[in-house]
Amino acid sequence: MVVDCSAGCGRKAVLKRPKTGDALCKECFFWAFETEIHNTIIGGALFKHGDLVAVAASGGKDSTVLAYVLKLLNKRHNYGLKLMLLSVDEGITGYRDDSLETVKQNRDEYEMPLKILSYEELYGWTMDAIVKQIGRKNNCTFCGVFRRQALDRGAALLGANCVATGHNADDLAETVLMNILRGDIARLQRCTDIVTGSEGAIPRCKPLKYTYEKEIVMYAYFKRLHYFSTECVFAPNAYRGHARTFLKDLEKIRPTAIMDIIHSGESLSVREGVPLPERGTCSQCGFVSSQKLCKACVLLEGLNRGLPRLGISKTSKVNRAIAESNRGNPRISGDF
Amino acid sequence: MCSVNEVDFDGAEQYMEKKSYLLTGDACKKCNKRKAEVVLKFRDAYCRECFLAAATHKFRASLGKSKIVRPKDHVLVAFSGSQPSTAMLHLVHAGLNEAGHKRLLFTCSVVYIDEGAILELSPCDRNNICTSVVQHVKKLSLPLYITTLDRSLGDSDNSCYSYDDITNNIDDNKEEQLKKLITSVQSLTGKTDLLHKLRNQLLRKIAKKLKCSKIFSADTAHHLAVKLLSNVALGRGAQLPLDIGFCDTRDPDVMLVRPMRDFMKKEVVFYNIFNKLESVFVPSLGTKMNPHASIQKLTETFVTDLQEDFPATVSTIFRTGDKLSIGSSTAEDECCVLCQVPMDTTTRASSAVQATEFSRMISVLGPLGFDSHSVGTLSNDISEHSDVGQTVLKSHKDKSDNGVKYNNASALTPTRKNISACRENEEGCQCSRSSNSITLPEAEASFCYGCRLIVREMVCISRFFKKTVLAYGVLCLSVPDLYVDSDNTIKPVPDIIWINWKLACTGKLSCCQE
Repeated sequence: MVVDCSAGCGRKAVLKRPKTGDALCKECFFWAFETEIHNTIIGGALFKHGDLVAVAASGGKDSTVLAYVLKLLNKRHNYGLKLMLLSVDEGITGYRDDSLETVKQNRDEYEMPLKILSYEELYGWTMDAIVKQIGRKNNCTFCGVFRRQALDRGAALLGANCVATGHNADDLAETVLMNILRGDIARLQRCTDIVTGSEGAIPRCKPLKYTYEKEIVMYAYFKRLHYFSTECVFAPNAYRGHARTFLKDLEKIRPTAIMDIIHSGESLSVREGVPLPERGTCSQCGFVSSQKLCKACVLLEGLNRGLPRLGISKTSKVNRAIAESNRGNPRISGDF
Repeated sequence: MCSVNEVDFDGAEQYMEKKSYLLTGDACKKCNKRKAEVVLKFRDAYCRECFLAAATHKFRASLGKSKIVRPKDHVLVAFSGSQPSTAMLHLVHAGLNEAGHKRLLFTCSVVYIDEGAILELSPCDRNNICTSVVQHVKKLSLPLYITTLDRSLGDSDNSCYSYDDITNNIDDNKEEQLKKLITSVQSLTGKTDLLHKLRNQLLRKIAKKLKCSKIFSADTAHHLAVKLLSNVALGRGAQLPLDIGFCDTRDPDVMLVRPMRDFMKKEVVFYNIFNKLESVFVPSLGTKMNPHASIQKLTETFVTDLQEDFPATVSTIFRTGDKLSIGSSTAEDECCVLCQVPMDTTTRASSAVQATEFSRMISVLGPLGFDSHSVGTLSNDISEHSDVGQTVLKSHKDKSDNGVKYNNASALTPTRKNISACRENEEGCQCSRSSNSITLPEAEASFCYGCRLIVREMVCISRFFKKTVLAYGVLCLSVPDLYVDSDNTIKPVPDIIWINWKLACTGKLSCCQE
């Protein structure tokens, strides 16, 4: 069955938009996709004229599309932004080394400067080495925590005003569900914010917040963008996998469910009197943390002391373990 | 980046590891004397007596702690025949007959809502179900009222009656209306959601009629966890505290209380087994459907499966709900006409509502019809930031009538003009838009986000619905009085014709004979 483009341009539609159910032709889709991101950027006041924006680039579809669209919109609407690519090399053989090649290709195609930071440089550990220590379980914790800081440090190095990440609507909806499933009220409250980051830290924004993953894939496909699509070689987080499957099933039943979940997340409000963790800074590295020591420092300390499970167990246990080993060998914390 | 979201990592992963427990011995954990008969939370074994005492205590504690139910209250107990409501009725009855100071001091009536009409049950089946309900409640000698779901529509006076042969009390005409209303909603998701809202509305009506100030609803923890998650997926996040909390105060005169909310499914089942209580099986909309038939069904399967592997799932989800409150963002006291919650659709410059409306608008307008300047530009100064949002919002706001909080920057704006243009141009098109009839976006403005999703699914809007809603005296949906026939002439809509609402809004009016 051939359907005409909903925009009434007279061409044949090539896809049905999951968000609204409209059928669009290729040209109208490109235009609509880009204009929506423009609307998100303006509506959320994500950038200021003349900002230096670090685009977090992994070589995957989301960040490739983000870099491409930001460059295009910057020119079309005179944002006056300076765009740079920022990549983190986790040191995962067979995954990151290949995807970094894609990022380098993007650098040349979109003529944006690229900065690569490696875990090895920053922390002295590659993910491969960490996995050797900790095993395949829980290694995502290390990767996720370290990347968060690596991006912050990278952005600071570049002197960027903000970091743009490629989180899409599906990611956000999934995070809302995950935070409910884990009962994490503090994150549930802030996970739908379009700009995150406390004072002092470089803000992060999500220009693709309201863009469906499906449309991102279609956009990249029709535009023939070069991106890298391989799962990480280390086992993905099983519990999140459940949430992801659930979300995809929901989307199958009712495609607007993703936006509906984001709307729910945005309109939640926390009851007064519910204790929320205080956000302070890490006493060791100065990054944002709700504990005395930030997670990255705890994990790193665990690795360096040969107790890799330190940061995986409960916070109370961590504090006890640190206290005990300090008593036993007070010199270590000085070394660290 | 990798598909694992980096923001979640601060630990907490360890709570979700699968655990296995080894049970040793067979004595009750509590009294250490009698033989254990039930294992709760995979590790606590209880004997019958200790289990029942704990269950009764749990029920009474939830009532006592909140102090919401006062001694002189008249309580309406909603009885559906299900396991939890059977257990709740038994607990209430036991509490009322307790000796001395332990006696519950309120009085109560029981209500059963017959939903046979929408389930396509035969009058005989419906009668059988009602008879078993009657027998069940009679044993407890509590006053029972039976009513039918169609009485949630309109302002019918005799909204309930004492037990009798149900077939004598069926109003065929109204049931037909109800059926039409439910079938006009396309998906099972929307149907289930609508049914739920209608049921709650009817319960409140009956409570008012019987002068009850409280309603007891038998939602268990499992049920509420599923409801929380599915309500999030249905865009009802803002209303969670009312839909999940201990006390639903959306109607100040009648509060809906959930005293069973600390019970797990298993506890309810064992409570009934130990007390030799039999529940009444009543099918529902999703019965015998596959798990992917509706969002509610899918969520139930998801939570049940997850609970199997991670026993903390239900309580974690459920506690999340406890930490939420109803937002204070609503400046005006506007409520959704269907579910009576404060409106959650005020558009901010950057929100899911605005983004969806924007998508809808530009998908229809296309690059040629849309003025890209209306989006606004990037500001130079931080202080201007907040203003940018305002201007965007303003440019998106149509000249809508005041009080309408709907973001009219939708696809409907141009077509509304089309329709009125056609009306002006065509001679003899008896378009008699009275001043009190309103257009689709304005009508939608009377619904909250979640109910709007139901309304949008009603592809076929019957004239009846217009009347029903009119009967509420709240709103009248503008089902256009005209339609374009296949030969491109404009004709008035006969009563039996159902309008394809969606198409009606895009200017391509069409209709289908019933």
